[in-house]
Amino acid sequence: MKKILNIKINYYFDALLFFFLATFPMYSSKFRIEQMSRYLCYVILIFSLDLLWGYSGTLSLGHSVLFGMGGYIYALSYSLKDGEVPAFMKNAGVEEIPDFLNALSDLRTGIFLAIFMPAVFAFLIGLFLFSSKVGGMFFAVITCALITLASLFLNNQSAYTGGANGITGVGRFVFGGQKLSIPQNYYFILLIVLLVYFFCRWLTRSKFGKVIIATSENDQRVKFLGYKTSLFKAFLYAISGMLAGLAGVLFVPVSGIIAPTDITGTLSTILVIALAVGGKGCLTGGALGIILIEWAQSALSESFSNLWQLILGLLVIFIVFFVPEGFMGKVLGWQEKIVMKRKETNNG
Amino acid sequence: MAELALRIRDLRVSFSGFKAIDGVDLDVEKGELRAIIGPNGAGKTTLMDLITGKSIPTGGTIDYMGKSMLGKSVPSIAEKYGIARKFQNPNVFSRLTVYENLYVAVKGNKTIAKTLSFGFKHKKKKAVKEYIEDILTQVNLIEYKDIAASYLSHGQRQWLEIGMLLAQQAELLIFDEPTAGMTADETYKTGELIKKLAGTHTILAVEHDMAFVKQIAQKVTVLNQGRVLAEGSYEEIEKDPKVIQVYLKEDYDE
Repeated sequence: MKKILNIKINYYFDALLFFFLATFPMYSSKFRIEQMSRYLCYVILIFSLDLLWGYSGTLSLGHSVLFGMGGYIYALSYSLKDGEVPAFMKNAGVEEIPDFLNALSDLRTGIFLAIFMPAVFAFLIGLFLFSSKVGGMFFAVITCALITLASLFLNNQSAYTGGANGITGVGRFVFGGQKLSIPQNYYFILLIVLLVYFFCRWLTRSKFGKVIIATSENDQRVKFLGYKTSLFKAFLYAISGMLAGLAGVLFVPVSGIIAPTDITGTLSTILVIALAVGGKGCLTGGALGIILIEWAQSALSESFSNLWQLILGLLVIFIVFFVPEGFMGKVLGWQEKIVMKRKETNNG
Repeated sequence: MAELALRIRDLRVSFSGFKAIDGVDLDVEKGELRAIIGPNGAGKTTLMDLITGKSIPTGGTIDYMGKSMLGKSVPSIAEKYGIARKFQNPNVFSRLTVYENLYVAVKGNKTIAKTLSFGFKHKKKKAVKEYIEDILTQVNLIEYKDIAASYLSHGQRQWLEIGMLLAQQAELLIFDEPTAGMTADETYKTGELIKKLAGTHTILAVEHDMAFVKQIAQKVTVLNQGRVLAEGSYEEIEKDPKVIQVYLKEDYDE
C-alpha cells in the first residue's frame, strides 16, 4: 500500500491515457482517427515545450516555428523526391531544382535535416540568448518575434515554400513500397509518441534533468556549483527543437499540407494554454491538456462555431485564478501532502 | 608560517564611480578560519563576489594556491579550483529532494555529456550515493532524504546548503552570514560544525552576529568603506578604538 502511494500519481494517468489512445481506433471513424493522429503530433510538440517551460522555466512562445521548420523541410523533401520540379516552384518561375536543395531530394536525408535543423537553430538561438543572460519574459517575447520572422520568410520565399498556400499533396509514410493506411499511420505515430515519452522521462530523471530543474529556480546558484548553465539550457533548447521538428515531420503526412497558418501564434498559444491548464513539469499534464483542448475545440466549434474561443478564454481565466499550478500539478500536490502526512504520523 | 591559501593585493572595484572595494590586502593561510566583519556597505559581500568570479575587479590581484583567479569564470572557480560559496539566504533547490540537492552539488561530472551518461555508471553512482548519505548524516538530514527541500524549515535549509558545500569537496569555503535566521541553538551547532571543518578546509565567514564570531573565529578582519580597518584576534579587535568607533559602537547605539 505504501509503495503504491509513493509512485507518482501522474504515471497512472499516463498508463490510462496510453490505454485509451491504443484502443481509440477500434471504435472510431477514419475521420476521428486522422484527427487524433494530428493531436498525437501535438503531444510530441507539447512534451518538447514542457521540457523547456516546465523543467527549465523558460517559456517559448514561438515553439510552432521549430515545428514548422521540421514540417516544411520534410514537405519540401517529399515534393522533390521524384526529381521533378514541383508545381508551386514552377508557378514561381523556377525551372530547375536549385543546387542547395539537391540534398533534400533523398527523403531520408530530408527527414534527418527536418529533425536536425530545428535543433541546430534552437541551439544557436539558445546559446546567444542564454549567455547574454536573456531570460524569463524577454525570452518569451523574442521567441514570439520568431513567428513573425518565420511567416515573413515563408511569404517572401514563396518559390521554395509555396507562399501563403504552403506545400500541398504530401502523402502518408511508405514502408516497404506500401503506403500506410490511416490506422497504421496512427499506430506508427503512437509508437513514436511512446518512444519520445520514455526519452523525456529518462532525460528529466537524469542528472542533466536535475541540473535543469535547479537552474529554473536559481541559475546563479547552479553556476556556483560549477555548471555552465547557459550551455546546459541551450542544449536543452536544442533537444526541444529536435522533438518539435520530429512532431512537424509526423504532422505533415497526416494533414497532407503545411502552410503558414499551421505555424502561426495560434498554435503556440494553444500549446502554452494546454500546458498551463494541464499542469507543466510532469509531461502528463501537457498531454492531457492538449488532447482535451483540441478535442473541445473541435467538438465546440462543430456545434457552436465561434463560441468555443470564448469558452476557452473563460476556462483559461478560471485556471489561472484558481488552479495556477494546473490540473496535474494540483493532483500531484494533493498526493504529496498525503504522503507527507503519513510520514509524520509514522514518525510521531 | 603555514602555506598561504588566499593572497589578495590592492584589490579594487568600483560600480559607476562608487568604490566598493578600495585597495584591500588580505592573506589567508591554508586551514585557517577567518571571520570578516564590518558595517553595512563595507564591501564584505562584494569581496566575496570578487573572489568567486561573480564580479570583475578593476584593479589588483587575487591568487588562490599560487594561481591567479582573475578572468576565471564562476563555474571554473567553483569546480576546478574548489572555491565554494554559501549565500546569505539559503539557496537550496526546493523542487528537488534533499538527496537530489546534494546529487547536483557533488564534485565531478559537471559537463553536459557526463550528466547525461552518469545514470549508466552504476559503480560510480553507488559510491556517490554512499558519499551523499554520509554527508546527510553529518548535517542531520538523513531522515529527510527523499523529501522535497521546500518542506524543510529555515534552519534545515541552511544545513542542507552547508551539506552542498561539503559535497562540492571545495578547499576554500566561503560562508556569507551562515547563521542568518537560525535559532540560538542552531547557530551554536553551525558554529561547532564550521570549527570542525577548519583545518581540513580554509574558511572565510562573513558575519554580523558578534557572539557567533567570538565562538568561531581564530582571526578577524574588519572591513569599512571598502578598506581593511583592522585585523587580529577577537580580543584585539574588540579593544581596537577604531573598530569600536565605526562598528561595535553602532551596535551599542541600536
